[in-house]
Amino acid sequence: MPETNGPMTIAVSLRSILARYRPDPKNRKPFPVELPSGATVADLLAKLRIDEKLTHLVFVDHVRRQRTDPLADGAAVDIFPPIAGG
Amino acid sequence: MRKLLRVRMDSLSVSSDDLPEAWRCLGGRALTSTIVAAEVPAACHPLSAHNKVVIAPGLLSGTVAPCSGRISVGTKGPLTGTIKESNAGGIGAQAMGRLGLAAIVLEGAPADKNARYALHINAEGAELREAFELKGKGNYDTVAALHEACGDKVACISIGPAGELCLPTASVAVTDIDGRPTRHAGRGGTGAVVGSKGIKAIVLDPAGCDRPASHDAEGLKAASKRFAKQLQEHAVTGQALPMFGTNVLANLVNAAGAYPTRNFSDGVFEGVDAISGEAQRENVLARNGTPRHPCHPGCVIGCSSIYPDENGGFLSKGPEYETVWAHGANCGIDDLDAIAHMDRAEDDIGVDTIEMGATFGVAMEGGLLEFGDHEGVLRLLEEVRQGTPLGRILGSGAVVTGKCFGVSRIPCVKGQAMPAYDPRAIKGIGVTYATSTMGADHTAGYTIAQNVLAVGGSVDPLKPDGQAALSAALQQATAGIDSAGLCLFVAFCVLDVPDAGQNMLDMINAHIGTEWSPDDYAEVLCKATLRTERDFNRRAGFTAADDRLPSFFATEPLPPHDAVFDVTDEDLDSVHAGL
Repeated sequence: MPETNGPMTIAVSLRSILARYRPDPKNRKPFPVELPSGATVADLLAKLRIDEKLTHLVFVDHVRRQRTDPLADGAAVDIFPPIAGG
Repeated sequence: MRKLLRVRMDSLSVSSDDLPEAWRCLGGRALTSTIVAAEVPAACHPLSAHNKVVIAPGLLSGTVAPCSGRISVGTKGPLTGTIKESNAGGIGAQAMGRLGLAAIVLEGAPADKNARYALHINAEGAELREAFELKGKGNYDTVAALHEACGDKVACISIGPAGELCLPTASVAVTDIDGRPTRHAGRGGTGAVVGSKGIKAIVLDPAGCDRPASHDAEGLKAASKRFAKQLQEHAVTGQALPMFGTNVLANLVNAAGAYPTRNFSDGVFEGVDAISGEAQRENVLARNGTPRHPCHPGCVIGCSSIYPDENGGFLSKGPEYETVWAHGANCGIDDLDAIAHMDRAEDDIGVDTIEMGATFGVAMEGGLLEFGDHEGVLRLLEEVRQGTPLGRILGSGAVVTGKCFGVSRIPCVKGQAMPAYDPRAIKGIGVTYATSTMGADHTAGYTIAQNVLAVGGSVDPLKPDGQAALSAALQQATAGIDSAGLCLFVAFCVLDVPDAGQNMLDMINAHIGTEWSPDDYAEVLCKATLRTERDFNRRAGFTAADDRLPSFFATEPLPPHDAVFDVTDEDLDSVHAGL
């Protein structure tokens, strides 16, 4: 994962009932979040101030990641509460 | 004693007998598969007089057990040539339970192929009536005519024009709580076999009938109360499914890079947001539709909805995740309203929405129409309804259509199209597709729970390790749930909550008077059912070589993971070794 010196910009999508944590809850498009270099998934979740038990699944560039995993500049992050369907 | 109703179409006679003692503890899929395996020659042609259709409510259907309104339709499937069980919600199972029916068996074939019959069942008995006036009608008009004649409280099981044409994508429709034919036993062409018997509809009138008697009514009531509470408190069954319905998965499976796009050529669909569960809910609310709609009384989840048209009138039930995907990402279509129109048309024509969407994806790749051409899909569906030569090709499913249009990427196993999860990016579901007794069927062993949803554990979807054992356990568990008549969605709770499985078993024991341990239950309803189905398939000519995915899944990397399906043949062959 490339190291960067400046802040990173992450494209965040909040799904399902997490819509209320978006800057504009009605806008389903990804929104940018700036984080310091080396920030992790946990840092992102903390910045978004989402109830921890609602952040059940985090996908970074289509791969499910854990809270301790680092993020890279330009990453696309999808965050989901517990959901199912089928 | 529950009854077995036999309908002999060669003599146009009906008889009712006690359910044999050997089958007393069976219901739903366990019963349909047991009867089909015992009475249908495995080598017979599915549309011949030798095949039978067995319709059975689950063991718990009609009782107070929550989410227990599933109805199983079993036969030798025209699409797959395997044994087939496809189940649906709606009010049919509970009506059969109240009428004391363990199963209806349709057998033989009428002398007059142009005749149509409706089977009427009420507390007084059952009779076949000529129903020529229903010939060629869609499911909606068929049900409207039956309600006009029999009252709007009856439950209707019917086939549309596709079933009458004996097309192997034909479904069996069951009316929902509003009397609409929106719940379908969709997979495998069961409707074609019903059509081959000359049966257009079954009318179930349980007026005057009580709930089926339970061995321990108080015990059942107490266990049901505990189970319902657990379902309502679980994050998935109590919150996510009721609010957003099944299509909430679209964004998640797309985020996982496993959302089959343009006939399984990509794992990410750029238009997913427009067809997501969130967008669907916004449309429903903006048009004053019904965002939560249970498909049968006693469902505490309520994952369906009513999807209005642009003017607020009823268009269709909320298209399910699989339906939206099949006609959406898989066909390059990002228009929810267009997809809802397709859902309505297919419910009316009586075809499986998964198979049809997959078929259109294959047809688009073959150049019959462009990806994204939703008007073309709706136009071609009318050809299916009319039974034109092209309509018959499309109505014969993805394999036939692929052959006719020179397509090599045909996402089918045992003749049946895959649903909305690419097996290269979610390898557990690939194991289920390959080894299910039913052809490619996600519900047969829904590894998405552990591979993607992190419900009931977590298994990396991109690695082959552990997928065979996961699929094996889930295929066994599913056979039991399908036999109890419970909605498969209860599994999300059962997998997660320690006591929920015991409460489910308590409900069954209290109702039928058994004292099954979890192992007893697993043997009688789960393992034995799979053994019976696999034995039938073996006698029908299927071998381990049929328990494989099409070769392109091993050779064509799927973006964005560039993954291929690499679960070994040895692992696939191990799935059912523990039966």
